[in-house]
Amino acid sequence: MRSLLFTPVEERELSSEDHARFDCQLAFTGSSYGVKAEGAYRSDILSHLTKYDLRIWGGDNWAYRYKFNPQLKNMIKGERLSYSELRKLYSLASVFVNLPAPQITYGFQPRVFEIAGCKGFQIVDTRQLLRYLFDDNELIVFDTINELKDQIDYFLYHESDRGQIAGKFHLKASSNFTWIHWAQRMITFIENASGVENLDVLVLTGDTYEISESLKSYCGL
Amino acid sequence: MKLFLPQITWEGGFGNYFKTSLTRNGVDVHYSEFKLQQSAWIGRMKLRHFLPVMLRERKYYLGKLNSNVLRECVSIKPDVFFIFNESNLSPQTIQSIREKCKCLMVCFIGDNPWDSTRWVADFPHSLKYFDIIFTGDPVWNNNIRKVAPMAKIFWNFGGYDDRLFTPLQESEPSDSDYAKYSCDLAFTGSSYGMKAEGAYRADVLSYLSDFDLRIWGGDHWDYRFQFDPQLGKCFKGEKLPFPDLRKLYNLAKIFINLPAPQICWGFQPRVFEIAGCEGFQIADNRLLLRYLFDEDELVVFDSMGDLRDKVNYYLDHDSERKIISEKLYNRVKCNYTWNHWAKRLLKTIISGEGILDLDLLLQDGKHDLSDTLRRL
Repeated sequence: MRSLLFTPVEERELSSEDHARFDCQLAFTGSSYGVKAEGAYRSDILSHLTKYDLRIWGGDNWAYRYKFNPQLKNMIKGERLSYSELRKLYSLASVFVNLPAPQITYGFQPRVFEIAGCKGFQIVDTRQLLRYLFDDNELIVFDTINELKDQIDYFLYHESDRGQIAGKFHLKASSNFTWIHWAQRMITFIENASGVENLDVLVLTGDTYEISESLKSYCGL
Repeated sequence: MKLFLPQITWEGGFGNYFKTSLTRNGVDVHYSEFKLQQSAWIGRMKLRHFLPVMLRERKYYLGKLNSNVLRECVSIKPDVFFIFNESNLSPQTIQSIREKCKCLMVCFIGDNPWDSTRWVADFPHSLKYFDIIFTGDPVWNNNIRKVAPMAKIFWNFGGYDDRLFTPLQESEPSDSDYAKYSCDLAFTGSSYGMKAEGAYRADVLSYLSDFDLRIWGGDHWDYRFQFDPQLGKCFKGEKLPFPDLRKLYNLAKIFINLPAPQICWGFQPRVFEIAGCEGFQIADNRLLLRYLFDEDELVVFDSMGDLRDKVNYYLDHDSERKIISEKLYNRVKCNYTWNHWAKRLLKTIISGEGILDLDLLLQDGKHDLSDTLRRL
């Protein structure tokens, strides 16, 4: 997370145009990956959400997906957004649907922290390491489409729950997961060789609680 | 049961194995073969290697193949539509087959559906039209479940042809076979052209180039020599035909078995093929191999140090190699031929028995999976 870039938006920063553009129930931004398989993953998942006020921005030819998911056509609002626009979107959308690339099996992308940095509320495509690092009451993840829809239905109408969760996760991200924290962890690792080695082996053979604790301690949580 | 199987073009021979083993188990298999004559004119003008020409020709071929499969399948009205991987079929064709035939839609995925470079017909968009999806590697399940919410996802690995891959009789190999295939270490497999998977194989094998290592395989192994020049002397030629592979598995002291790195937990049928020839292999470790086989029937490696230690040990211990390969041979002969594969597959299709959502079972760590998987 860029600690100065992804911060909560103050109301005075927003124009009425921003509100018209980014105030929505659901938002997604990300590449469509051209004709590549990863794009099919994103568009097939998003196609289940078209009954909501869903708005999508992103590059690499989202139009290619219309022949498979024609219902997405009305949802695509434009190309990739700039960082300052992303910040407004994360803050204004009620729910940000966060879908990492499907080739990422256990891990996750820094977007999780960027949204949190803006105090945005997100529902994330679950990845095992997210569950090790974060509790249910600070980050919402989904495992199936039905679960995703249930969570959206719930959180769209429970604004205070959204606010609480986003507030809690914002605090965690800004205290532990900025690029400054990343650099500190990296330097400690280089100087003392202290880090989480061979995590794949631990994940597949180890005790869930122990792994969770050691990852949290590594991240200073 | 009437089953429609579109042709499988993969050179590993799956089309024939599927068709034969399912037929032997009482299934009325309609195997759809499609051969389109390539344009002689394009060949004569040497235009085929120009990308725009190649893409147009491919589009034309795919269009013809898709309409042919759809027409044939609708006329046959199968109980089950069954494909391996993408089979060059578009999501629109799969959707039409589902709507018009109203049959059970089954797909067997042997390669990562999210691999950017593998598909030509937008395969991942087809997944939502299947009722049953067999995956060779359950690591893909988590994401398949989301794009194919109605499908049941079972684990399924392949099998081997027990008529083709058998131990060699001493009288069979000629002097030239001995000269060609008798070696300490052997590897056969694709170099994947310029793709990342080839780098994996070449880099692993480069640590073994000080042994008598011999490599055969297609897709431009010579491309790798710029990164691993020491492999140049180990490379012996293009892909071997099955009868030669059988000789190699028998005559090489150790076969180094490296699945593609996109396969995280699963493995490829080559494990069974080598074992079927009573060859000795050291396999690149994959989680599910350890659940299925004990250490005294299949040797695996986790690191290059581990691999080199095992190579050194087993090169010096002929009798141990023999005991281990004999044990695995007996195991695969009784459990892992294509015939056994067909029985397992049909059991799942007909009665829903099988290992459902194996990825979840593996991750929650609460089950003794070894017994469950072996019973399967």
